[in-house]
Amino acid sequence: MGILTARFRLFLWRCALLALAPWMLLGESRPIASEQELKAAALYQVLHFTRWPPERMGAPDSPLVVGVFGENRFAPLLQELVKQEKVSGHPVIITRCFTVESAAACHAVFVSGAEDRTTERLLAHMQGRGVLTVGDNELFAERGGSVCLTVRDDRIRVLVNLGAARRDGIVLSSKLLRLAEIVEK
Amino acid sequence: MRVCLGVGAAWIASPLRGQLTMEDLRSFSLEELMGLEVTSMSRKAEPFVATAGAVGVMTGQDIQQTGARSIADALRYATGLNVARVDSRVWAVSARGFNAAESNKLLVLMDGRTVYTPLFSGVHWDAQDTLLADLDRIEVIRGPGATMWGANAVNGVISITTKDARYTQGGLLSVGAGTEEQAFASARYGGEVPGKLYYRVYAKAYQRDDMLKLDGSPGHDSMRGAQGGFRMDSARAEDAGHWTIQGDYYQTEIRSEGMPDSPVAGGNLLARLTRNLSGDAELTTQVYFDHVARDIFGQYSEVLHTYDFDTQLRFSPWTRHEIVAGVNYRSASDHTGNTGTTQFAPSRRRIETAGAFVQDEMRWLDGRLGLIMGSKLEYHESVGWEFQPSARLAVRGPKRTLWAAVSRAVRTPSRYDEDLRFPNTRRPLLVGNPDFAPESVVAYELGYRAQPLRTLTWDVSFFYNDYRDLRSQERSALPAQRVFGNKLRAQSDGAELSAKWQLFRRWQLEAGYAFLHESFEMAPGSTDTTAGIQEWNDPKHTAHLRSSLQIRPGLEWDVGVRYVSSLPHPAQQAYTAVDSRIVWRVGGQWEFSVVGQNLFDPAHTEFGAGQPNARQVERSLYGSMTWEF
Repeated sequence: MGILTARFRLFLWRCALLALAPWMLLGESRPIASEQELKAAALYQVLHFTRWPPERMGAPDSPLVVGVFGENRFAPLLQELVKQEKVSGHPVIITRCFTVESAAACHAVFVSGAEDRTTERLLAHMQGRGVLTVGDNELFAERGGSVCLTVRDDRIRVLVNLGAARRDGIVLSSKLLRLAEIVEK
Repeated sequence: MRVCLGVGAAWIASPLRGQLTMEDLRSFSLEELMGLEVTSMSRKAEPFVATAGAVGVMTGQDIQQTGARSIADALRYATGLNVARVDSRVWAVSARGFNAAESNKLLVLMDGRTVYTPLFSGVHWDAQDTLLADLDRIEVIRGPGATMWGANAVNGVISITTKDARYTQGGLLSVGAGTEEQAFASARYGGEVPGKLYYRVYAKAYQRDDMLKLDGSPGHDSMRGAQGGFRMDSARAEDAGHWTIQGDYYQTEIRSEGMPDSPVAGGNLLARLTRNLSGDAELTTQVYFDHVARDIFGQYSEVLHTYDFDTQLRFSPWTRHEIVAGVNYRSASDHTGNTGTTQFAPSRRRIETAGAFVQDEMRWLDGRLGLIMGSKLEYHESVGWEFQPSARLAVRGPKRTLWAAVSRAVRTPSRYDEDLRFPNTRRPLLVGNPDFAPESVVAYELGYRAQPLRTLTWDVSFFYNDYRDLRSQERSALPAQRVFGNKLRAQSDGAELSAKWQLFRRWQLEAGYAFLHESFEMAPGSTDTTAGIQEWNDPKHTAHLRSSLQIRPGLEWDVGVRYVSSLPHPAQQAYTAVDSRIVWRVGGQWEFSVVGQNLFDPAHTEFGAGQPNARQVERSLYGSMTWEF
């Protein structure tokens, strides 16, 4: 066998070293980057399962506005995801909102992260306005948000608060409800 | 539902499936999204970190950030690729060694279409172009890829993919000017026939300046070209298939000193159909026609027509097994004009190849252990059947993959190997050998890829390649004449390291380093006295670092530094070059950018200053303006 040259043996040594080193060095690893991406994709899918009051939708090709509430990195990601996409014929537009009033002008608003007073105020303000509220805080649905996208056991979970959706004037399709966990308030 | 089968990527081996793209995410149903494990072990959504191969991916955004105006130029920032600009039309590009102006061990695909020429098994990089803004990604696979792609994927595969027409909707107009990229303009428009298809059409034109001779005078090798093309993609209906039809046409004129301009033209037309069959099976069929006409004045001329048919079936007959099998046929007929110094006899030839491959990917222990085995069996008319097997083992943990592979690949004889007569006289000094045997390699690889932090992915790979029957120049029966033989042997070994790190939300770093060592020896009985130096001219070290910083929303600053160590023959000094780009986006529609390439050096050679026709790459500055509507 001509392949067991000195250099090949050296290669094998390097391989052996390589095989051991990183497994020892990197015992612990942290959650994967795609969590945000998965949430963005899930939010986009939830839009397909949502029916808004007819007076909110305007013309068949008028835009569907999704607001991202507060300062976070979600908006550009979502923007990239829905670029050129349509939901039942409506082109999707992503906007950032910083006030409760501007959020109420959107068809859907996504609230990321911590539970705070502003979130409470926002949820209270949405009643009867035909806005789908989506959040990724574990308690978002329990506190009166319509849809919560959260991670449990390394998987995306969808929690739905039917009462909140009804109160805000939003109808969620049965297909979504089959996949989601219903949170009783 | 299949993940990560982007367009060209449909032709990429399953172990090499890339990361999830936005397009993949968009296409998932909610149910599928909920089935994805966030911690990566999922079979369908295999993140980049689970890829069991020495693969690098440049996204469309990465390509834009390099500031490159051509595909070859962008490849300078792909880890493990050695890119050297020889003169204005010739680029030497290789992976894992054997770089030469006619480097011949790399397979290059554009949207699934092979772009190497059977004339010398290399790539005419001056002719490979598209609208850069429409590039989806460039995947660089180092090491043999012959089991899936067949002959000539000896040291690596570069797969260039453009975006689905669905994602290039709307208009784009871009113009720019600069010192080397003297003037360029491009336009694209994308639209849809609702519910049926998406389309785009594009056109571009450019004028590129001369490079410099060694004495600093103009090299008189400027070029100008124009290209146009289209792409149509079916609107995706859930679970139905997908089809793509695309085509391009280009025309380029290259100046050369004291001679008429050399015209280069070409075009292609490709159709691909993917059907989802019952269960989890997927059938993909692709046909294309490619036309190339090059008349490099004083050197050679070539008219080449290629017809290619390829079909591939992917299915899971048993749990734990995913099988990909395919057949392909290609006919390449050329006509060499034989007016220049390089002659081919016969002047017309048709080369037919046909092949079949099968590959099985097995997974055990919840996917933690994977084994991919397969082989290609390929028929080439002048060498008969070639067997190109490979075995690849992957051990996967949370966000880490260790992989090892052994593969065999061959390079089938090109026209150059078999039919060359150089120079074009009654008694040429160098002639081809009709009995030229395929060159072959057995490659041993090992690699590790991990994502220790959410924001950091890195990988390292080692290889040892054992080459046999490489091209040598033997003494012929006639005095002073040499004929190609297969009496060169070589071993190479090396390592590649790459990392991508999102330090802050607005600051991303990307780096790569490659080390290469090669040794050559003549087989017993060889009369070659060149020691094989014409077959390779490689640096021991190549490295790059790229930073992309968002100074504030709408204002971005990119810097790249690249290093190539010295080359032996022709001798070339080591060099470091710095590229930078500043982009200013206004109102989501306008983009202004200023790019400087090779900033701190007025000019340098990249592939040896030893030859009289050596050319220097100059510092380049250009500005451009883009309007999207």
